[in-house]
Amino acid sequence: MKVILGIIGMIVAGLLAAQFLPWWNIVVICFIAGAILNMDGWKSFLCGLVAIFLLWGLSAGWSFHHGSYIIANRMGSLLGNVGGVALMFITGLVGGLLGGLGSMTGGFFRRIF
Amino acid sequence: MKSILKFGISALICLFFTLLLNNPVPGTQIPPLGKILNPFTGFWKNGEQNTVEPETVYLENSHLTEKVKIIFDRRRVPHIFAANTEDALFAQGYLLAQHRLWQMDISTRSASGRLSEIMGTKTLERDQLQRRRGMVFAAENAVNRWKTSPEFSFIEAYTNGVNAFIEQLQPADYPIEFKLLNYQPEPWTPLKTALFNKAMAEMLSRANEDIEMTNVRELLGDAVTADLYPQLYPGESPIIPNEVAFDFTPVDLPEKNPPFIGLIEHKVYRKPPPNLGSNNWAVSGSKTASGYPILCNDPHLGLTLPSIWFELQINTPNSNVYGVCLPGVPGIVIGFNETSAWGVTNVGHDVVDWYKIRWTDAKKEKYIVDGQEKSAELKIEAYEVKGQGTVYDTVRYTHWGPVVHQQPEKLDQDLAMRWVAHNSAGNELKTFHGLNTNKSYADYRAAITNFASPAQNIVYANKQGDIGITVQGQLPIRSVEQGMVVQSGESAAAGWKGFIPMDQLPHVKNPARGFVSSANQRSTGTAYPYPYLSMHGGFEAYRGRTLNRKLDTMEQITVTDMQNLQTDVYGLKAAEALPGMLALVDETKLSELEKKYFDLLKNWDYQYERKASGPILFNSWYTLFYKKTWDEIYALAEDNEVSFPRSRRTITLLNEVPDHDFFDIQETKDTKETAKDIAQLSFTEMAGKVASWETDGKQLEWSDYKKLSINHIGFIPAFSRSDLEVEGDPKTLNAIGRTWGPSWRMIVAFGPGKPKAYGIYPGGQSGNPGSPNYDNMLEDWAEGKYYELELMDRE
Repeated sequence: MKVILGIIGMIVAGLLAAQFLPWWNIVVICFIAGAILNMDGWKSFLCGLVAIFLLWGLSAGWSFHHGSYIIANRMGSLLGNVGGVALMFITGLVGGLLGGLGSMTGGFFRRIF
Repeated sequence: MKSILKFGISALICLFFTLLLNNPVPGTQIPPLGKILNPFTGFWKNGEQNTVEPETVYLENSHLTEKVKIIFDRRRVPHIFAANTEDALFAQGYLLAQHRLWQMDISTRSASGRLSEIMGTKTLERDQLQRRRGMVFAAENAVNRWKTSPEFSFIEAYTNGVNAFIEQLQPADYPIEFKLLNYQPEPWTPLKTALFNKAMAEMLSRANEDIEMTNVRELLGDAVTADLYPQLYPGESPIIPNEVAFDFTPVDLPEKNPPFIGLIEHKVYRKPPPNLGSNNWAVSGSKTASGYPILCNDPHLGLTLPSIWFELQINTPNSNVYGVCLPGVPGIVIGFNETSAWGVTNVGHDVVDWYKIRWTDAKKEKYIVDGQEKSAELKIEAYEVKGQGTVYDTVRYTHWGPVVHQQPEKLDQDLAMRWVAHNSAGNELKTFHGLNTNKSYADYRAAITNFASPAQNIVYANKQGDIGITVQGQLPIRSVEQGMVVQSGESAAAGWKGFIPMDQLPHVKNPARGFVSSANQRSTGTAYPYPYLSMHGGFEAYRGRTLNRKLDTMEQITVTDMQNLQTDVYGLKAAEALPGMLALVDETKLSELEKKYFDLLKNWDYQYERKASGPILFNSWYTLFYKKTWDEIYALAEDNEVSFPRSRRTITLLNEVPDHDFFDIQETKDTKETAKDIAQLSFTEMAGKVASWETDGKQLEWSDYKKLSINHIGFIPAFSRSDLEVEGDPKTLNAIGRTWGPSWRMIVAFGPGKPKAYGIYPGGQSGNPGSPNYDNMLEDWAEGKYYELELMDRE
C-alpha cells in the first residue's frame, strides 16, 4: 500500500512540478519521496524508477498520439536508429533511472538519522 | 558511518547522472539527453497537430493599431488582413518567427560570424572569415541608410512582430534545433534583417575568379588566355535583345589594361556553387491564348529544409499581394498583386575586385597608395567561443575595403576586397514596398531604382499588357577586362570609376519579339557602352539560349505551356557537344558493350528525362573528355589556384579545332593526340564506369543515377531528405543539381479579373521537422506539379 501510494504521489508531484520547474525536478521530488517512504535501497530505487518511468513514458505516449509521432520518429533516427515507439520506452527509462536514483538517495538520507 | 557512506555514494551517482543528462557530453555531438527527452520541455513538445486544416486566427498586440486577421489555408499559407502596412509587417514578422525562428537565427548568426558561440571552436575559422569579409560592416552600413528613410518603420514593425512571438515563447516551445544545440532564441533587430540581405548578397554576388585568372594569365600568357578563356562567346543571346538601342551618353571609361602582378599564392575560399542561377520571363498578350501577359520565375538556389522561401499573402487597404518572402526580410520578394507581377534572376556581372596591399612595416597599420602612406582602420573583432572564452582578431579596413586574404609574414601579399555589397547605395525596403504596391509600369520602374545589391534581372508584367525587364543594381564601371585579375592597390587609378547610372542600366519594355527573359546570361550585346565582366567567366551559357529559342517559336501560349517550359529538360549543351563527339569516335574499334552505349547515345534526343540513359552516358563521357583535354590545366592546378576553360569553349574546340595543342596529352611525350584520341580514350573509360554501375544492379536510368538531396540547414540527417528522384540537369531549364535547383516556381497569368497564379517550392511552410508541413510539398515539386495560389479578397 505504501509503495503504491508513494508511486502515485511521485507521479502527481512530478506532473505538477513539470509545469513550472526544469526537467530535473523529478530527482528532487523522488529524493523527498524516498526520504518519506523510508525503504531499503533497492526497493526505494524501484519505487522511483517505476513512478518516473510511468510519468515520462505515458506522457511521451500521450504526446506521441497527439501529433508528436513525426518528431519522435525523426529524433529516433537521429539518436540512434530507433523508432518513435522505442523512444517512448527510452524516455521512460531515462526518467526512471534518475527517479530511482533520487528516491534511493532519499531513502539512504533518512537512514542516516 | 556505513549509512553516511551509502548516502554519499548514492548521492554522487545521482548527481553525476543528473549533470550528465542536463549537459551535452563534452567532446561529442550528444545533446543534453534529459533536457531533450523529458516529455514536458523536450522534443516531445515539438509535435504539431491538425495544421493541415484551414484556420482563422487573430493577432492582437499593443504595437498594432487594429487586430490582424490571418487565414491559414490547407498548405499553411497565411493570408494576412491588416489595417495598414506596419500592422501587416508586424504580422509577417510574427508568422515568420512562428514558423522559421531557428532558420532566422542560424542564417543571421552564420552571416555575422557568430556560429562559434553555439558550436565552439570548429566554426571559429569560418566566423573569422565572415568578419574579415566585412559582412557585419556591410549590414551596419545598410541599417544606417535605412534609418534615414521613412520606410524604416516597416523594419521596426517587422522586428516588433518577431520579438512579440519570441517574448511569449516558453523553453518547452523552442524550436527543436535550439534544444539540440542547447541555446536560447535572442531578440530580433533591424541589423539581423540587414545581415540576412547581406547573406543573400554573399551567396549571389561574391563570386569572382580574380585570383585564378591572375594565375592563368601569369602562367599561360595573354594570347593563350584570350584563346581559352574568352569573355564573349559566339551566338550569345543576351537578356536585352540586340536590336535595343542605347541612346545615352555614357560615363567616360578608364583606358587601362591591368598589368601583370605575379602569381597569387593565396588559397581561394570556398565559393558559392557556380551554377546557382534562375530563369524568369514574361510573354506579352500577343503571344498568349488569352491575349493577356503571363509572367514566370524560378530562382535556382541551394535547396534546404526548411526552404529559403515562405509563402504568404499580405492584404491592406492599399494593396493585395501574394508571393514568397525571405525569413528575416519584410515584404514579398517574388510575387504578384491584383494588377502586376514581378520576378528576379541573378545578374552575372562581377561586382568584386581584389587589390594587393603594400604595407609599410610588419605592424600592418599603414599602406602605400600613389606613393603616400595611408592608415588602415583597425577593427578588433571579438568571438565568444563556446567552451573557450573570448578570442580576438584584428580586421584591417583599407581604402579599397577589408583585408580578407592575409599572409602574416609578408608585407606585399595581403589582398583587400572591394565589393559592392559593402556599402551599396540602395534601399531594398523601398524597392519591395514599391513592388508590392505597384499598379503600373511606371510604379515598377520607380520602385526598382532603389535596388542596388545583389543586382537582379527584375522581370515585370501587368494586366494593362505591359511587359519589361531591367538589369537592376549597382554595377561598377570598369575598363575592358579590368577586374578580371587581381590589381595593385598601390595606384588609386586602379579603382572603379563609379557605377553605371541607374537610368543607363540595360532595360527593355514591350519588345517586338513579344517576350522578355533572363537566365543569368550576359545582360547585353557588345553595343552596350559599358563592358560586361562575368563573375563566372562565361556563365551562363545554355539556359538563356534555350529559353529564348523556345519562346521565339511559341504562340497561343497557355499556363500549361509555361509549366512545361519551366520543367523543360532539353539539354542544349549535349545537343552542341554530342554529335561532334560521336563523330570523333572510330566505331570499328568499339567492343560489343561499347557499341551498345554508342547506339544509345546516337539515338538520344538530349532530353534529361527520368527514364533516359543518354544523360548518364553523355555526362560521364563529357566529364572524362573534359578532364583529358585540360590535363595541362589540372597539372597547373596542383600548385596554383587557376580557372578552368568553360564548356562552351571546350565544345567549340572539339567541333572546330580538333588538333588544338591542348588536346595533346602531356604524359605521352612521343605522340601528339588530337580530339579524336581524347574522344576514343574517354569513351572507353566511360563505358567501363557505366558498365560497373550497371553490374551493381542499378538501372541505366537518369533518375536512378542522379539523386537530389535536400539537406536540413544544420545538416542533421534525420531532418534531411536524400535520394529524391528528379529529372533535369544544371544546363536544362529545369535546372536541378545534386543539392540545388528551382527553389520556387511561379506562373502568373493575367486576365480580365484577378490574375490566376500557380506556384510550388520544394519544402513546406513550417520549419519544424515535427510538423506535417515541414516537407509536404516536396514530392509534388519533384513531379513538376503546381498549386493554385489564391489572392483572397478582403471581406
